[in-house]
Amino acid sequence: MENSVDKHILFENFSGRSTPLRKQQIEDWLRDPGNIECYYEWLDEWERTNSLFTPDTATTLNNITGHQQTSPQPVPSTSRPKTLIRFRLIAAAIATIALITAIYALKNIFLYRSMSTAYGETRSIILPDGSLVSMNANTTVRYSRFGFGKNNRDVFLSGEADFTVTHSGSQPFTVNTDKDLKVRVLGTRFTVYTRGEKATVVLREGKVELQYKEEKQLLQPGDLFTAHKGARANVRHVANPENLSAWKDHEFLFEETSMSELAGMIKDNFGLSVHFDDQALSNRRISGSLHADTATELLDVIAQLLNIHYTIREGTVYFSE
Amino acid sequence: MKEPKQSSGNNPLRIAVDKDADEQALLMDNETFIRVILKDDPEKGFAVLFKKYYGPLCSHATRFVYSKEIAQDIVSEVFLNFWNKQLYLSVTSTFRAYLYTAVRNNAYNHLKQEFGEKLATTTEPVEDLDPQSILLLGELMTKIERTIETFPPQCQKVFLLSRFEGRKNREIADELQIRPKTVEAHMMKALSILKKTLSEYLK
Repeated sequence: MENSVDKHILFENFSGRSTPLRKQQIEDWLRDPGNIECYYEWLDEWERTNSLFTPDTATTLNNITGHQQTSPQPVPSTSRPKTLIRFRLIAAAIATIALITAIYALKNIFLYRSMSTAYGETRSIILPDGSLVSMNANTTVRYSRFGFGKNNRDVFLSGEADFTVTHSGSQPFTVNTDKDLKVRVLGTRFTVYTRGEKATVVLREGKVELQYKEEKQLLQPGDLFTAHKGARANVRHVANPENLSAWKDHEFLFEETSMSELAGMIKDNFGLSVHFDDQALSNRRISGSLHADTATELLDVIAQLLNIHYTIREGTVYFSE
Repeated sequence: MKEPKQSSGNNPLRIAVDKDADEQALLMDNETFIRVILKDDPEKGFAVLFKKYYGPLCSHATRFVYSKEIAQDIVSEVFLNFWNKQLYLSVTSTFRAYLYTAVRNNAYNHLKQEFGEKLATTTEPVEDLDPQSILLLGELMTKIERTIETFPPQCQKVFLLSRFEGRKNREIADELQIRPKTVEAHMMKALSILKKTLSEYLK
C-alpha cells in the first residue's frame, strides 16, 4: 500500500487527534529510518509553533559553559590625591543614581508579570482570573503579579492581542495602551492592536467602553475602532470581526489588501522591512487566506500569486518583477 | 537515504511544489553547518546547537513533566552529557533526532521515578527507539494533557501554578484567596489522579 504520511498527519498526531488506523499507518511509516529523521524534524517544527513557554536560553548557556559575561571594567582610580575626594563624591553620586534606577527598574519586574512573543511567534496565556489572552507576534502583555483579579484587572499591552474576558461581577477588566487609549470591559471577546502610530480595537461579543484621550465611547459587537496619530479616531462596522484576529492560528487573511498594507503586516509579524523595486508593485492587491508559520512561507505564496520575485537581505525583503 | 516527503496539499492556497525540497535542503544545511563548526571550534558549535534547540526541547519536555524547572533541568542535562562525552563526534543520526530522543527518554525516566510503581533503573544510554515506542511517547504526552484538562477548575489552576510555574503554596493561597491547606489538598488530588492514569504507561 502506498504510505503517505505528511506533515499535517503528524501534526494532528502530536496534538492527539489520530485515529487508531492513522497511528498504525504512522508506525509502519516509521519503520524506514529516514522517516524517523523526518518525524523529529516535524516534531521540532510543531514544538516551535506550539511552544508551551520560552526559557532563558542565554543565561542557561552561560551557566552550563561557565562563561559568565565579562562584567564591566572597574573605573580606574586616580592617583592624584587632590582630585580623589571629588572623584569619590562623583562615584558615590553615580552609584546612588544607578541604584535608584535599578530599584525603579526592578520594581516593575517585581510588581508585574510580563509575557512577550518573538517575531513569528503567537501564544495564548491564561490570566489568574481565567481570562484568555492570545498574543500575536512581537507583543508584550504585562499585569500585576500580586492582586490581579483581586484588587484590579489591569493589563498593559504593546503589540496586538485578542482577549476573551471572564465575567467578574464588580471587577472591571481594563486594557491599557501607550496610545492614550484604554478599553474597559465586563466579560467579552475583543482584539486590541497598538503598534507604531496606530491603535485599533475590534469587538466580537459583549460590550466594551473605550477611553481615547478624554473621550469615552461604547462599542457594539462588530465595531472596529481606529485611531491614527494626528488623525481623527473613527468607528465603523465590519461584517466579519473574526477575520481581524485570524493571526491566532497563523492564518493570514487578505481582502483587497494592498502590498503596502502587507508590508506593514510583515514588519509587525516577522520584523522584516519591505522594499519595492518598482513603486507600482506596492499598489497591487491580493485577496484570499493562507496559513504561514514563517516569513518565507508567506512570501513564497505572495510571490507565486503575483508572479513576482523576492529576496531577503539583512532584514529587508526586496520585491521585484 | 531519505524518502522524498509527501507534500501536504490540504490547503488550497498553500503552494508546496518545490518548497518542501527547499526547506529540506535548508535544514540539512543547518545540520551540516553545525557539524562543521563543532569540528573547527567545538565550544562555538555547541553554543549554536544549544541556542537553536534549547527552547523547543524545554517546551517538549514540559509536556511530559509539566514543570518548567524540571524540564529545563532535563534538557540541560542532555546537553551537558552531549558535551562531556563528546557525543557530537559519535552521533550518527542528526543532532536534532538525537536531542529529541534523549530528552523524551529522560523525561519518561523522570516520570517513572516520580509516579511509577518501582524505582526506575539509572538512566540508560540513549538508544534509538523502535516505531512503537516513539508513538507511545507521543500518546503519553497527549494523555497527560487530557488528564490535566479533566481536573476540576480550581484544582487545575492550583496544579498549573504550583507544578508548571513552580510557585510556592503560600503565594498560590494568597493569590487564589484560599487556605494553604486547601492548596495542598488540591495538589494531592491532582497528583493522585495523574499517578493513576499514568500507571499503565510507566510499567
